[in-house]
This record gives sequence, structure tokens and C-alpha cells, in this order.
Amino acid sequence: MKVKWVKAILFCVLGIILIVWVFRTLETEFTNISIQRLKEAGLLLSQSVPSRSYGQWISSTREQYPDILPFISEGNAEFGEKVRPVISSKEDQAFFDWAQSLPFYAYGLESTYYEEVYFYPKRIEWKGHPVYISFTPIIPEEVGYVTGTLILLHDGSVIRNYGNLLKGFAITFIVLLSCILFVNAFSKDPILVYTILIIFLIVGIFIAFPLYQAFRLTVMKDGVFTLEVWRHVLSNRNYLQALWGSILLGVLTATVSTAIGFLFAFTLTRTNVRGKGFYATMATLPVISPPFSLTLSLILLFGSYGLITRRILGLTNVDIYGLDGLVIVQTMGMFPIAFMVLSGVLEAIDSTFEEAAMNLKATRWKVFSTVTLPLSFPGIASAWLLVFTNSIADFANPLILAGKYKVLSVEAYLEVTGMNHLDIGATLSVLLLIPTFLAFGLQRYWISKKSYTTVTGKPTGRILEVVSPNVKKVLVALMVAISGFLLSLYATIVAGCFVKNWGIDYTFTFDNVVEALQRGKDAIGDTTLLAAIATPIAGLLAMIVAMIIVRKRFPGKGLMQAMVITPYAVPGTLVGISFIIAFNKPPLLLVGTAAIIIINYVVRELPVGVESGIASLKQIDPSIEEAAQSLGADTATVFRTIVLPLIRPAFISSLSYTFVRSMTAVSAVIFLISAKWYHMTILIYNFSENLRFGLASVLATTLMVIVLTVFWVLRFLVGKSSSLQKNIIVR
Amino acid sequence: MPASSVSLTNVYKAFKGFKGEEILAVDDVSFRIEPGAFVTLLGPSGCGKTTSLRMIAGFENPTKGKIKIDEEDVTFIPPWKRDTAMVFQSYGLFPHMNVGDNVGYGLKMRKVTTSERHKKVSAILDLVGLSGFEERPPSSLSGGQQQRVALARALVVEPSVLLFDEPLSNLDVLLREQMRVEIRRIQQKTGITAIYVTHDRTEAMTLSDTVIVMNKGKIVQTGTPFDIYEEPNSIFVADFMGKMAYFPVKILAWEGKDAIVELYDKKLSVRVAKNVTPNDSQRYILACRPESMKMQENGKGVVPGVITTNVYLGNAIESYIKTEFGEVMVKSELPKEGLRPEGSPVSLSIREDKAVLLPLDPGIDGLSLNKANI
Repeated sequence: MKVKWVKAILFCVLGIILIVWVFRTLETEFTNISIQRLKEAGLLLSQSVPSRSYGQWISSTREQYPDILPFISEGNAEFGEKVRPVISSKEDQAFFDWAQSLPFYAYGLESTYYEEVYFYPKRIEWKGHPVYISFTPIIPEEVGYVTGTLILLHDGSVIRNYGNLLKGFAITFIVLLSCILFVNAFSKDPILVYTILIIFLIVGIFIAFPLYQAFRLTVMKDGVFTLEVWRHVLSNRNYLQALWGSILLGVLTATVSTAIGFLFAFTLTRTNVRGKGFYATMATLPVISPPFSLTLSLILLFGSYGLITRRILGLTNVDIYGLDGLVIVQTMGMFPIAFMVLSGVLEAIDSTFEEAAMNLKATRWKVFSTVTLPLSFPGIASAWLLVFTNSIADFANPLILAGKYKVLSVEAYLEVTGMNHLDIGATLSVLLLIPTFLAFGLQRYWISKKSYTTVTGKPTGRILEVVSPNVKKVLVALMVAISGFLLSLYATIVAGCFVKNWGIDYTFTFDNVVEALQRGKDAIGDTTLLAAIATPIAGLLAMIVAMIIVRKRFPGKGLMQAMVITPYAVPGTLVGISFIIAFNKPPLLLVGTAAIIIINYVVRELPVGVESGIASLKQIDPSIEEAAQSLGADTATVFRTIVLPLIRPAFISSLSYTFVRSMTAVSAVIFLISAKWYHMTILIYNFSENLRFGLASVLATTLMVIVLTVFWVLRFLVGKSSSLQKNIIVR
Repeated sequence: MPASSVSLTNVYKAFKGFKGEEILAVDDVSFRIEPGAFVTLLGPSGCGKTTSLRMIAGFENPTKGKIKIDEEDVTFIPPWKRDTAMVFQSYGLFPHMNVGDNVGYGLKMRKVTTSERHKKVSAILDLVGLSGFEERPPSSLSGGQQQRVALARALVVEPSVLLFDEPLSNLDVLLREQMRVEIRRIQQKTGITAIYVTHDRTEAMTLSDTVIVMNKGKIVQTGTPFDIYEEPNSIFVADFMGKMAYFPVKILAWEGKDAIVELYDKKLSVRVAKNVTPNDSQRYILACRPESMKMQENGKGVVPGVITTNVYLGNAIESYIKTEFGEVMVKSELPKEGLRPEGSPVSLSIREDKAVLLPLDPGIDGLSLNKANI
């Protein structure tokens, strides 16, 4: 053990010495070359110094060469001349006051009298700027001897920056070297340690750092702590209105969605209606429908030129934009979340309870209101909260449909892209986080403790008809109406592709398809390419993180898990804003690149993959992996040959999840796109903004086709879709 | 096959408890296993035997101490670089591979060519009696067959040490007995060093050359199965290895390794537990196995009592006898004259060469031991 320590430290010290030597040499070499250049520039410049009216020459030179600051000292002390600084401005005065106190000033002047250039080799500071100082003799051609000294301040920031860069490299190398040496010396499993370190690095740079930067921006101005931005936001009526708007929208959507979700879940688990498969599909399908699709069809059907409102009913002053439209469209898109939570809960409630109640002579209504409903209360509450957080974080629907109604996510977007107020945008999206965290906390610490479902016995598998035939008819009628409405929305989108000019001219045409694909083909290509790159990265990374979290013990595991899961709770708007704040300057200048979009996809879709990986790994006996280890497989081989094949369903569903979510992303990616890298969903938004609903419909339909195809392929690959749906539900 | 020695020197393993407190799972354990030996770590659950085995395999790092295989320090060598192979309680077969690929996995890791691999796999499957099972998925096999695949998978890489972590506890009784014989046969045939963890004393006794009994993270006794059963060095080992009857006695004199004790006015010359130096300040109790006592006519034996229950086992009878010191069990063959009826008074004689004098920890009531025994 001691020998190992000594060896590691020895190698480390040797390595550090070597690295320092190499980088010092590089830096000195660069500095020398640069100084040589600066010297030559000085000599060249000195030839242009006139014999009189220095002042004008100085000011014109300063204008011409911004990185050189010339001063002139007149006279040659060697000849007994009086030496006199040329002072024609305040700056000259300040310079000479400062320069004459420099210890080498006299020596520098003196050198020039012997026709030598003196260059002080060290970097000094002048008014807070890094500079080099040189003394060059002025030898006018017509005179032929030294008449004065040209003193130059050369901008040293380039050399300094280069030096800093080298230092950065050196430190990185030293850290890397000592890491490698110590890990190899003291770890039984270096690959694992490196993996953990790399994951921490990724998580730190791409999750913690941007969020930290965003928070910082809300409380810092010019490097000073201040609550000014918060005061500004919280005292502004517009923003408060937006906050209230988000909350009101969330409450309404959550309530209606939970009611509809309960209707479907209850009818499907507690009665024996026919066509359960159809209703279940209807109640899950909208989860994977691309953004803007439901919004678009709602506008096409009920907008001011809508098929139903204008054409069929002949109404002229309908306004679907605003709260009503938003609640409708969000409910259609989000009631499946409530449905999935509630059907899980209702399935878990043993119907023996209901049988027992009926046996005790309770009426059907009594059974429902005193047994079924109270038992499913925790499920109802968590469904409500889940929809609420989703509604609040929603960005795509309000972006098009909000009209004059204000919500936080859109307001944050407008501040950032419209006004370039990054700080206000960040503050608004942090504000958005508060209700989300409250809901999360409530769910975790209150509702989960109230859950009764775990104490029940095995379900009997039989269904007790707890509703009377008439009530059942009403329930079915409601489900049919909602399903019909949903189907008509989807049909409208498809129809919208082939109509010349919706609302005015309903003739059949392929023009829209041709034009949309023409104009969108780059965006479609980009979107697919970026999603395809992000997918395997996110999928593999998620599985690796899951394996490390479930199977390995290491310090900081809880922190890693928390950080990986964070982007799941953070609204996309905040993620997008924090990314542009964090990655708009070197060394991490990523804004405008494809990398930032890919990284954003990976980071945002990682939590779901990690969670499903963890869930399925926990089902697997650890001795399977240990058996492989004891047969000679190292950690990487165990992952490749044992873990990955065993959690294949989780892996594939996480791949598909990432792909679909990346293809349909809006909220974060809208901040990150550039002219070079565009996203289909944003193009849909642009088309609808310009009232080109036909083009928007074509792209939305294309997205739907892509998404559905992916799911079909997956269903084929995984066999069962249950784990898939479970994964999709969460957002 | 190569066989290696294994040694542990002052090994400790501490775990963090739920409240962050330190729990010593293995507390200063040292032992040495000679090449080719079959050694069992025996003890109740939580005694540290599995943790010790997992440290030998490399799955756990010792908090302190040294582990050597073949005189080479492997304390900080990862499992995949150790020449050990483990057979797990839950088999640990790879569910996504067929039997052939399962068995061939370790060979693949060792870069053995495909044809060589096939040859070795079918040879080893032959050895465990599963020839021709290569293409079958593990899930289609019975528990016993699965464990034999696991055994074959461990054997085929010709490890220098074979580790067993309660491999038979998921099998039913008949299979367990059969597999026990098979494991011993294969170990003898291959001459491999084997370390076997179990809480089943019968398994330990039938399989091993040496038994190491552990309790609360410490080794309490090491010896041959015979030693451990016949000459336990503590009440814990005595109880763990089987039924015991305990009699409080008065010590009259020490005679080398023996002691003269008095029970019911009768003098008995009995052995003192191994590794126990006679000490007058220590309390002792006399321990006797059920088969080392005999029921005699009233007055002919040492301890008087009354039969409360007879349990007929076919090849033997277990008689429960109420004595002044509580109820004790006597195991005997069916006497010619027939079963003594329940309720008949008897007198128990004790085989002096089989009885052991065990140290009694302070604070323990010797009489409570017989009650706990029932």
C-alpha cells in the first residue's frame, strides 16, 4: 500500500514537472516570437515619426493602430540635450507620470541613445490593461542620429490570453494525469471510476452548470448580487398576469383532464363495456401526438374561419384563441396522463372491497362514493398534479393559441427572443419552476403516504358491475363523444393537407404537400438527423447511468441521481434559456451549433431512460452479473454482454422515447435552433403564424407518421407495448 | 486442474448500517486453505461467511487485512482478474443465452477458439450429466439441472479456486442430497480447491475436509467435521452442530485434558473442550449428544427422569426425557424388549468418552440451555 502511494506520487510529480516544463517552453517561445514581432513593429513605426509636430502624428497613429499606444520623449541625453516628454493630451501626462516611476525607465531611454531598442520583457499593467512597453530610438533619415525616443505600449492581451489558454491546458493535463495515475494505482476497477468521473463531468457541465448560470443571472447584475430583476418582474402587472394565467390554465386543464381520465379509467376497469381496446387506444394516443397538431385542427375547426364555426354554423365573431381554446386543446392532449395513472390505481384496487360493501347492503352509488372514490383519491390527486405540472410547463399550445391570454412560458420566450432580455426570461422560467416543485413535493411527501393500494390482496380478476345499466349508457355515450371529437381533430389535420385554402376555398389539391415538403425538406432532414444522433447517445448513457446507480457503491451517488433526474422536473423553457446563457461564450461556445441541440435532447430525455433502466435492472438478480465477473468479464464487458441484453426492453423504449421526444421537441429547442440547424416543429409554428395552415398541416401529419412508424417498429421489437406506454406517460 | 491455496490474514469488513453506524460483518478473520482442500464456512445467517466468500471472489473489498490466492496478494485485484469461479445460490445463469453459451462464457472471456470451446463445453456437460443440453435455454431446465449448468460453467474455466455460495438451498431435499454427493465427487475428481458457504450442518459435514464455524463475524472453531461435532469448543458450536443435553456439574479435579466431575454423587471422567485451558474461575457445563446417552432401568444410570414423548424414526427412536435440568433428548436404537412407554421412569447413563465439558459464559443460566434446545 505504502509503495503504491510513493509510486503514484512520484510519477505524479514527474508528470507535473514534465507538463509544466513543456507548457512553460511553449509559452516562453510564443512570447519571444511575439515580442520580436512587436519590436519590429516598433522599429518600423519609429521610421515614420516626423521631426516636429509630434502631437498630430501621435493621435493619427493611435487611431490607425488600436493595439499600439505611442508616446514620444524628445532629446538625446548623450549629446547633452535636454530630455523632455512630448505631452499633448491628458493621457500623455498620465502616462509619463506613471512611466517615470518605472525602475527601468531611465535605462530604457538610455539604450535608445545608443541606437538600441529596449523591450521590457515582462507584462505590466497600464490602466488595468495588460501591456508590454518598448523604447525605440527615433532616427530621422535627414538627421542620421538619435533625436528622441519612441515609447510604445503594446497590447498584451493576446499573449496573456494565449498564456491563460496554455495554463488551462496544463492544469487540465495535470488533473487528468493525476486522476489516471491515482485511479490506476488505487482502484480495483479503473474503467468504472473513469465512467463515473465522466458522467459527473457531463452532468456537471450540461445540467448543473447551465441551471446555475440561469439562477445566477436572475440575482446578479454586473457581478453584484441584486434582487432588482425579481423586483422588476414581481412588480410588473404583465408578468403577474402571466403567472396567474399559467396557474389558472393549469388548474382548469388538470381538473377537466382528471375528470375525463377518471371517466375512461373507471369505465374500462369497473364495467364490462365492449370495445375496451378502442377506448384505451383513444385515451393513450394523444400522448404521442406531435405538438401543434391538436392546436392546428382546433383552429381549423373552430377558428374565425373554421369549418364548423364559419362554414357550418355561419358564426362570424368566434375567437378560439385564449383560455377556452387552451383548456380544450390541453385537455385533449393531457387527459391520457390522468387516464394512465388512474387506470393503474383502479386496477390495483381489489374489487373485493366493493363486493364486501355491496354484501353489506350498500347501494351502487353508496359503494362508489364510500369505497371506490375514497380508495382512488391518492390516484386522483397525483393525476391532477401531474397534469397540472404538464400544463404549466406546456409551451407549444399557448404559443399559437394563447392570443391575448398570457402564460409564463410564452412570456419568457418573448422576453428572450423578442426583447433580448435574457435575465427576465430566466427569472420568469424560474418562476415557472415554483409551482412545479410544489406539486412534486406534494406528490412525494403527502399523496404517496396516503396511498392505500399497496395493502390490498390479489385482485380477483372478476369485474363487479358497480354501475347500473343506465349509468353505464351515459358513461359510454360520454366516451364515444370524446373519442369522436379526438378522431375528428386528427382527421382535420390530415384533411388540412389537401385543401387549397382552408376556410375560403375547400378544393382538393396537392399543392400544399409539394410546397411544404419543398420548403421543409431541410428542416425535416435536420430534425431527423439530430434526433438520430441524440438517440443512441441518450439511450446508452441512460443504461450506463442506471447500471452504475443500481449496482455500484460510490460517494456522490445520490447527487448524481438527483442531477440526472433534474431536467425531468425543469420546464423546457428554463432548460432552453439556461443553455443559451451558459454556452454563449468560449470555451463552451455552443450556441448555433448542432451540438447544443443534441446535448439538449440527450440531457432532457436522459431521466426517463435512467428511470426505466433502474426499474428493470432492479428486477434482475445481481448474481447474474457477478457470475459473469467471476468468469473473467470486466465491467465494460459485463455491461455489453449481460446488462444491455437483459434490459433490452428498457433500452429500446428509451431509444424510441428519445427519438420521438426529440422529433417533437419545442420548448427548449426553440431557443437553440439557428439558421443552419432548424427544427420541424418550429417550422410548423412559423407556418401557422403566417396563417399557412395547409403547410403546417402537412408537416404535422409528416411528424405523426414518423412518430407512429417508430412506435410500430418498437412494438415489433419489444413485443409488448406496456413498458413503452409507461415510459411515455411521464411527461 | 491447478489447485491453489487461499489465505486470509486479519480480514475485517465493515458496512454502513441504516443509521450510518458501522457494522462489522467480518471481524478479524484469518485462515489458510491448502491446495485441493474442500473447506466449508458454516454459520447462521449474518455470521459473515458469505461476506468472507465474496471478498475471496473479489466482489467486496476488505476494510482491513490481506487476502492471498496461491501466495499472491489479491486484496485489490478485481474479480475478473482472479482465478476463482463462483457458483451462486440463485444459479446466476444468463437467461438470454442457451446452456452451451452459458457454459462457454468464461472460455470466451479467455479467448478460447470456438472449436476448442465446443469441445470443452461438451466434455464438462458430460461430467455434470447434462450432455446434449447445449441448445436448451436455462429456463427449460429443472432447478437441479440449472445448478449443474452453473457448476459446469464454473468448472470449465479450470479455476484454481471454486467458490460455492449456498448452492443447494434453492433445491428440494432429495435433489440436495443427490447434488451434495455429486459436488463432492467432482471436487475429488478434479482435485480443485473448494470453499463452500452454507448454514446447513449436514451439508458441511458430508462435503468438507475442514469446517470453519463462524459467528458474529468471527471464526469460533475450525476442524474436521468429526472434531466439530464431537468436540465443540463452545455451546454455540455444540448447539449449531446438533442437539445437545446439558448438565450442570461440580468439578472435582483437572487431569490434563480431562476433568473429574460430579453429577448426582457419581464421579465422571470427561474431556474438556478443545482450546480451553482449565480455569477455576470459569463456570462449566457438561454437554452430551443424544446418541451418547443411554436409558437404563431406574437407578442404574446417572440422571433420573421420566419419558414424556417417544418419536419413532424407523432406524432410531428419539425419546424426550424430563429431568431436573429440563427436558433432554436421547437417541437410541429400538431395544429388543420393545419401546419403553411414555411416562416410564428411566435413568440416563452418559458415555464418558463422548461427553464434553464446555465453558459457560457468565450470565447464562445453564438450565435454560435445555429448554432452548427443544
